[in-house]
Amino acid sequence: MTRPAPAPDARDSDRTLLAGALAETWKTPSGFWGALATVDHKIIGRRYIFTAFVFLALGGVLAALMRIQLAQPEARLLGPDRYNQIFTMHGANMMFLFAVPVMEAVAVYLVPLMVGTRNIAFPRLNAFSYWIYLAGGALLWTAFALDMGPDVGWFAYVPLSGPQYGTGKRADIWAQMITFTEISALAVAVELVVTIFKQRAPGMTLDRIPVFVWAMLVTSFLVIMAMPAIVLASTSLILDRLVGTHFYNPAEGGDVLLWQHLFWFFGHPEVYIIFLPAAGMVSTMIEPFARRPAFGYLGLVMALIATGILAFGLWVHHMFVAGLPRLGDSFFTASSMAIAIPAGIQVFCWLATLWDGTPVFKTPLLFIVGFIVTFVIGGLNGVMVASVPFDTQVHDTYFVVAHFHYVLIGGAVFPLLGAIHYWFPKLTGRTMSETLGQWSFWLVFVGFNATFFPMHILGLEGMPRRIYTYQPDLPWHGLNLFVSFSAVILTAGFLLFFVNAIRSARFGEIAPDNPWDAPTLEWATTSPPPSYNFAMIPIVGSLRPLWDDRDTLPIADGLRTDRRELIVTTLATAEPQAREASPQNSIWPLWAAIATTIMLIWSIFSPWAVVWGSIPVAFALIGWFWPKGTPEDGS
Amino acid sequence: MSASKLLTHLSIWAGLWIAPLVWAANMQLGQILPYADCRSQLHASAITSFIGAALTIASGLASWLSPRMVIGDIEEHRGNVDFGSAVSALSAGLFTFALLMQGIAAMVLTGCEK
Repeated sequence: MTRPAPAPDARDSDRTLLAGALAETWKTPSGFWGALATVDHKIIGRRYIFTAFVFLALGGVLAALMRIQLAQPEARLLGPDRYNQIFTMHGANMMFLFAVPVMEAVAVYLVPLMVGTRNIAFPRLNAFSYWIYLAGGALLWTAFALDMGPDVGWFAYVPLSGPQYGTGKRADIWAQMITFTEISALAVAVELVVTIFKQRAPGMTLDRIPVFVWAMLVTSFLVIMAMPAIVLASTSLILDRLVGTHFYNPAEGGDVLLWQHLFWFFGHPEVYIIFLPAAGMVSTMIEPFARRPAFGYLGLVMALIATGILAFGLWVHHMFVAGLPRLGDSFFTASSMAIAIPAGIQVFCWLATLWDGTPVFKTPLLFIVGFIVTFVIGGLNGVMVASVPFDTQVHDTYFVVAHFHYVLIGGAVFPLLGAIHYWFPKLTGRTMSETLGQWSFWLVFVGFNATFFPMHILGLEGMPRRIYTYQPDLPWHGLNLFVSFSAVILTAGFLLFFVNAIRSARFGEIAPDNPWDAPTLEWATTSPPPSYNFAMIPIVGSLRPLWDDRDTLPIADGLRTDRRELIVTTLATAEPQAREASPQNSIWPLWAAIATTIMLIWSIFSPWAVVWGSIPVAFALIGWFWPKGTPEDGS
Repeated sequence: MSASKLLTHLSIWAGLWIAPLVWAANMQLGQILPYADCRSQLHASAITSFIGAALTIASGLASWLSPRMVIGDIEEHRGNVDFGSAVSALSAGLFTFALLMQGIAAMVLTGCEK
C-alpha cells in the first residue's frame, strides 16, 4: 500500500490524471444549491470562521456601547434594561457564538489537513453543526433586535432567570440558544475525536501528532464531558419556566445552588475549551518563526492533557461567596493553583523555543509574544482570585472583569489573530498584508492593555460589575474615561485587522504552498488545498515531516478515485487498517437543521413542540441516512 | 488482546487514568468530609488526600517503570510507548502536587469554617 515518491517526470503526468479524477469525485457543485449541500470541511470551516468573526464584530459593538455609557457618570445613552440586555448579549455572544465556535471552526478546517486525510469524519454532521450554530446565533440576535434579548447575565443565575423573576421569554431565548450552540459544539467535538483517532496518515504515531491536533483532541473531550452539564441545566430551566417543574425552586424542594454547580461545572472547563486550542496554535506557529522545533514536545502535550483534566476540578472557585464549607473551597483553591503548573510549563517551553531560536518577528510571532505577556498577567491575577480571602474581596468587581478578559482575550484572541495571519494563505491562497498586520497588532496590544489593566484598579476601588451607571462623587470617573478612550484604540486595531483580512482575501499577494517553510502536513498541499486535500496520502516518519522529509515525503496509494475514500488507521500506531467511504454532498443536513430549529424555537412557547416538532426532524433524518445508491453507500 | 498485554498497557498509562480518578474522588470527598471533620476533628480530609497522593505516586511509578521492565512485543513501537509512559508519569506528578496541596489545606482548616 505504500511506496516512495515516484520520479518527477512520471509523477507529473500521473498526478494530473489522478488530480482530475479526484477533483471530479470530491467536487462541490457550483451555485447556490451546491453551496448549501456541500460537506467539504474546508468550505464549512471557512464559513464557520467567517460567521464567528461576524459575531465577534457584533459583540464588539456591544462592548463599545457599554464603554460609551460608562465613560462618564450618570450617562443616559442606555437605560438599565437595555444595559442588562447588552452585557448579557455581549457575554453570551462572545462565549457561545464566537470563542468556542471559532476554535472548533479553525480545527474543522485544519485538523483533517494536519493529520493528512481527505475530509473530516462524519462530514454531513459537520454541515448540520454549522447550520444549527447559525440558527442559534440568528435566534439570539433576532430576539435582541426585538427587545427580547436575554438580560440575566451570560450565566443566567436562578432565581433571577427563573419563572419568579425572569418574566417574558428573555431567559428562554438564552436557554434555547445554549441548546443550539451545544448541539453544534458536541457534533464538531465528536467529528474531531474520530478524525484524530482513526484518520491520521499512516505513520503518525502518538508522538508524531502536531501539538495543535493534540490540543483539539483534549478540547473535544472537554466539550463532550462538560457541555452535557449545561444542556441539563438549560433544559431544566426551560422546564421550570414552561411546564412548572421546580428544579431550582427551594420552596418546592429545588435548589438554586444546583444551577451554579451545573453551570460552572461546564463554565470553567469552557475557559480551557477556549484556551487549549489557542495554546496548540501557539505551539504550532512558533516553530517556523523561531526557526527551530518547539522546545519540550512531551511537556507541551502533558500540559494540555493535565490541564484538560484539572479543568474539571476548579468550578467552585466561581462560587467562593456562595457559602460552601471553606475546607471544601480550599480543595478547589489547591486545584486552581496546581493548574498554573502546566500553564507555566507551556510558557517556559515557548520562551525556550524563542530563546534558542532565531526569531523572525512577522505578525503571527508578534501576536504570540503579545499572547505570552497578556496571558501571564491574566494567569497571575488568576492565582490571586483563586485564593478565597482575596476573591471574597474582589468578587463581582471590575477586578474579575479585568482578569477574565486578560485570560480570554490574552489567552485566546491574541493567538487566534496570529493564527488567522499564519493560516490565511492556506484558507484563501493569498497572504495578509504584513504592514497592516503589524499596525493592527500594536493597536490591539496597546489598546487592550490600556483598556483592561486599569479595570484591576477600578475593581480594587470597589466598582461593581454590571452597573449601568455610577454617581459623580465616586472615585471611578477618571479611570473609566481613560478605559473608554483606550477602547477606541483597541477597536481601531480590530477594524484594521478586518480591513486587512477582507482586502487581502481579494487583492493579497498570491501565496505559495508553504510560505512560512512550516513543518506540518497542511503545508504539503496547495494553498488553498484542492477539494480532496491530498492527491496522495502522505506517510509520516517524524513529528515535523516537511522539515525532516523535505524532498522525499513518502506517500500511500491504493485508494479508489471513483468514490470518496479515506484511509482508516489504528489509534495508537497509525497503521493502515481499512479503506472507508466518505459521504457525498447532501442537502439533508440543512433540512434536518431547519426542522430542529423549528422544534427548538417552538418549544420556547409550548412543550408540545417537542412532540410534534420531532416528526419533521425524524423525516429529515430518514432522508439523511436513506441509501442513495452511490458508491459511497458501501463500507 | 491477552491479559498480560492489557495489564502492560494499563500500567503504562496508569498515571493518566489512576491519578485523575484518585484526584477526582478526593475532590468529591472534599465536599463531603468537612462536615465529619468539623464534628470529630479527625482530619479525615487530610488523611484521604495524603493516601490519594501516595496512590498517584504509585501510579506514576508504574507508568515510568512499566516500559522499562517489559520487552518483546512493545519493542516495535518503542517511541509510542515511551511517550505514553512519560506523559502519564509527568501527569501523575501534577496530580500528586494537587493532592498534597489539598492535604496541607485540610491540615490547616478544621472543617467548621463557613
